[in-house]
Amino acid sequence: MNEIISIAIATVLAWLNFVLIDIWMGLPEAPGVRGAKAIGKSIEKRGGDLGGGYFSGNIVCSPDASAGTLLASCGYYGFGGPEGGLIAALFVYFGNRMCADPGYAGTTGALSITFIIWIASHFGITPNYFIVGMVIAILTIQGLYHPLSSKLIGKIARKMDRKVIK
Amino acid sequence: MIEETIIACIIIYMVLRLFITQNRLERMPYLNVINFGVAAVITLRNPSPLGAITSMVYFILATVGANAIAFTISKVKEIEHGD
Repeated sequence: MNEIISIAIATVLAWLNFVLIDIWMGLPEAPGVRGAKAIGKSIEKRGGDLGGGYFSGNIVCSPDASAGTLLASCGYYGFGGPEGGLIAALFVYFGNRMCADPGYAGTTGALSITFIIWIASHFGITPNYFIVGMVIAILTIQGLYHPLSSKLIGKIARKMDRKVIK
Repeated sequence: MIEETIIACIIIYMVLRLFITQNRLERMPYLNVINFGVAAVITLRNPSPLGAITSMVYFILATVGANAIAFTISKVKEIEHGD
């Protein structure tokens, strides 16, 4: 029972970390690469929001804060300390360069989740719960029903003043 | 143990969705979730620095592959429709 509560808290923290940083870094504003544009348009055609579609496309096509959150949790768990999160940030930075994406969302997300895990580990929520939490969090955005999740992302993006740039 | 069970259920569900989906662009986010799950399982089964580095390399290279696939699909559509 204790494990389930830990996983639930870690899921919420991971979801907030990657969604807020990705939107703040402007993922719903414009597609970073060409494939992201195609995925965004496809989600809009199926009844979703264009900003949310670009958000999904950018996550698929280059390592953003979602990848940073997962890999920093993996690094923290594997190395047994915050240094793993810093190594993950370096890997995500290289991944961004390889995908020709100019953003720094992935590196920022990796560093912020490393800090969050460091605090949470004092309360008994260890990094392995964050690894599961991130997989559940990405399932809610990318895996369940794209029109609905893209509308939710579009709504949050408009609240944070990150509209699609025409 | 419960962590691996949850991720295994998510991966199986995503594989089923991947099989029944016809639209190639709609499949890409599902594939992305599977990549997340596999990278997570690699570290959960090998809680060591090498396991963590393996899942980082796996995930970054899987993303580079997904980027190339999405680019190719958009290019093929452009050629087909003259968009």
